[in-house]
Amino acid sequence: MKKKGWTSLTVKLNTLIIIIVLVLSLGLAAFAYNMNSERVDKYYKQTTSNAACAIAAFVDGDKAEALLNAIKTDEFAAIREEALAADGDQAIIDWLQERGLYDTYTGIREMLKTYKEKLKAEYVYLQSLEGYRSINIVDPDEAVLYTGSYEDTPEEYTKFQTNMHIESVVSNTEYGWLCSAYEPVVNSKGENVAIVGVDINMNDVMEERGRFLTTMVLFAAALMLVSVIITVMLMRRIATKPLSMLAKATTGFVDNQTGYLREKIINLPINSKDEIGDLYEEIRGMQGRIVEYLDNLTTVTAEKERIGAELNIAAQIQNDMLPRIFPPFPERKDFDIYATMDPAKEVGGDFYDFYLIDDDHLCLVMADVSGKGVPASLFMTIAKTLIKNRAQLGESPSEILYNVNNQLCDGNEAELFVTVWLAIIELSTGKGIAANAGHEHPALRRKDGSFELVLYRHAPAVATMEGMRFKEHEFQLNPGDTLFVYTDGVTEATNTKDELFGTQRMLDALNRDPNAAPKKLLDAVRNDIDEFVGAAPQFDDITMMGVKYDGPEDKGPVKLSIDAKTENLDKVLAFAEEQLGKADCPIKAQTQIGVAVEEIFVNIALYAYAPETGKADITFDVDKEKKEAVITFRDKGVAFNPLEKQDPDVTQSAEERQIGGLGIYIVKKTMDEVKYERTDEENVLTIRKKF
Amino acid sequence: MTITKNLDGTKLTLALEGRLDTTTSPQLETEMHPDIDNSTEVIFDLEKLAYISSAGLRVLLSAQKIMNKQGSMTIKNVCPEIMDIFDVTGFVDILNIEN
Repeated sequence: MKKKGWTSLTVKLNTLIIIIVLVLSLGLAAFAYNMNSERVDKYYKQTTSNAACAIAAFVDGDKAEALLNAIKTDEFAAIREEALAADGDQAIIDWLQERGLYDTYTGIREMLKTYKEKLKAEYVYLQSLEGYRSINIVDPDEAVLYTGSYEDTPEEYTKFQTNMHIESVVSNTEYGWLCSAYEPVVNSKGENVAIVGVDINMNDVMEERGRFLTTMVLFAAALMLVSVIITVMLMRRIATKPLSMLAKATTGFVDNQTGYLREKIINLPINSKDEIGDLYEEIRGMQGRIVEYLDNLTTVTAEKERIGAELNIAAQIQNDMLPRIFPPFPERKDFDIYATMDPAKEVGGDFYDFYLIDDDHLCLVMADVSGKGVPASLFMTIAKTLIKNRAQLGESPSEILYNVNNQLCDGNEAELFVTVWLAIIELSTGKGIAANAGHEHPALRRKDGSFELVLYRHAPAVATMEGMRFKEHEFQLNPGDTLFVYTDGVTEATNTKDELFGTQRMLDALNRDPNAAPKKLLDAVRNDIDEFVGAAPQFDDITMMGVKYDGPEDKGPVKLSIDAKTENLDKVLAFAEEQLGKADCPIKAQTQIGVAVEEIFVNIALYAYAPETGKADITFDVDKEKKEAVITFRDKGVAFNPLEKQDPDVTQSAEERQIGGLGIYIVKKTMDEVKYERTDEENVLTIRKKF
Repeated sequence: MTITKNLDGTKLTLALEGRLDTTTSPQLETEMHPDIDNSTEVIFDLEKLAYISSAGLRVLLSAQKIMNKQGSMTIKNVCPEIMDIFDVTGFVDILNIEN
């Protein structure tokens, strides 16, 4: 694309050359013309002047004076007037003859005429001055009548009066181009009495001069044309053609599709040893360097991308190593756990971990490897694996850290270390044992209280020195308590003013809604950190874990759905015994409840669906805390309310006794409450027993 | 349920162990007959019996009825849980319980 106002170099240079040639030619022509004119003029002036001198020398001054004086008289003027009126000059001739002046007149006239012819002069005449005018004395081309006429005085005559030499003059007059010379005629007393004027025709000379000028101009034009053509051709050859070739080739070098290739470096037939040659070599060199640079850049970029991709994979692997699916144990109701890890770089040195060592023991780990990035993350991987292996062997926190410490110290050339908070909680009782190897103080919130730091002496970090022992710290979690552990990335999060987030802000964030689930607690802390930090970059990994302990599971109602057959009685009783046993129900109550269950179940088995069989649903709701068992029996058999049956008379003798009704009677007597409902085509019998 | 039967002339001793419920009562009934018909004295040793339901009571009641006619019947070593049942059902008054 050519920019607006783009003009070819050829045009620019040619314009310049035209101007220069024009100025030079015109100047030269003017100079030559002037030189020539001056020389010719000078020659003519000299010649004319010489002629005038010669003629003046041959005119008798005294005679001329006499003639002049005669014709200046009023008498002559009157005679001349008459002659003019009569258009005849005889009167004048007569008048002159009377005074003996006619011979003088004719003598001068003949002489002037002879000179005029010899000199090929245009005009030769004799004049004099009379006041401010000049008076004609003799002119060979005119009749005698002409003598004594007046005309305006040429400027040159003023010099005549002062006896100065009058310069010859070239002038374009009504008679054509003339060179005029004047020479005074001197009388015997040496006085100027008249002037001889000689005019020589210069028309031919002037014509020639015009032709000379035309030739000069034409020559200049031709010169200009030739030089322009030569310049254009030369410019094309030595400048514009190679330059546009260069420009085109350079454009071709840049191509978004194929990039910069070594094969595309310009290769042109330019070998002129001048600036263009230099420019060509420079561009070639530059393109070579560009290709080389880009080759390097491509290699470096590819390497960088590869490392970046590997780091991403590493980050993914590290992330996948940490338990990330929440809730991790959906079937467990006795605790709720949530944890997050946000590395400052792609990979971090922080980690959290949690797992059930067995059904009753939960192991919690929060750790921070010194340093950041890949080295820390590698160390973290080892530390995490070792700790988990040891924990799953059933070792205590102190033993775990002791062994892991020794293993990590072995060959720890990089001198990395890791701070660890490790706790094992017995879920059935809430008893916990923790070991803290240089890690942050955990925060604990007792049920209905607020989060506070749990301060106790820490052991040094793991992997600092071989053979170290780690002190254990025992604690008790009660249902409703929440434990919060974190790494220094939380407390040492820094804002743009270089202030630390600190434990107080962390506790404030936790205590805003201390009863919230762990996930909400962690979100609250994270939000506060983000707000506090603002635009400052994250320096350290931010890792947090919250555990809410809800106490051993309170199982709630358990349902047994079984075919109502007496053969299944054992299963029902075994189930009842299991449920009651779990709730620490005393033997006596267990027996009573067992009997009641049997009586009711057997009733259903025998009568509800007779003669067919059907299902019985038995729900056990045994509350250990309330020391109460509520058992509900449902069947879809015929509607029957056993409570309506009359109680047997227990005072009767054996012989009088009826067998029927005894079972329900026992139930009524031994249970605290027996209730019957018929709902949705179901018989629902509920018994309640405190123990 | 385990039943240990000992017949000494006309004296029948039945030691019951385990549970006497709907499932096991027919077993006791089978063991009891026909020896009980020829006995003048029947002793039920309930020392190892942990549990009794109305089905069991029914068997005991039928035995008592038989023995009322032809001799005596004694229940020995009743544990408190079973004693409770006997209490509630008025069986303490029907049965001859010897502790």
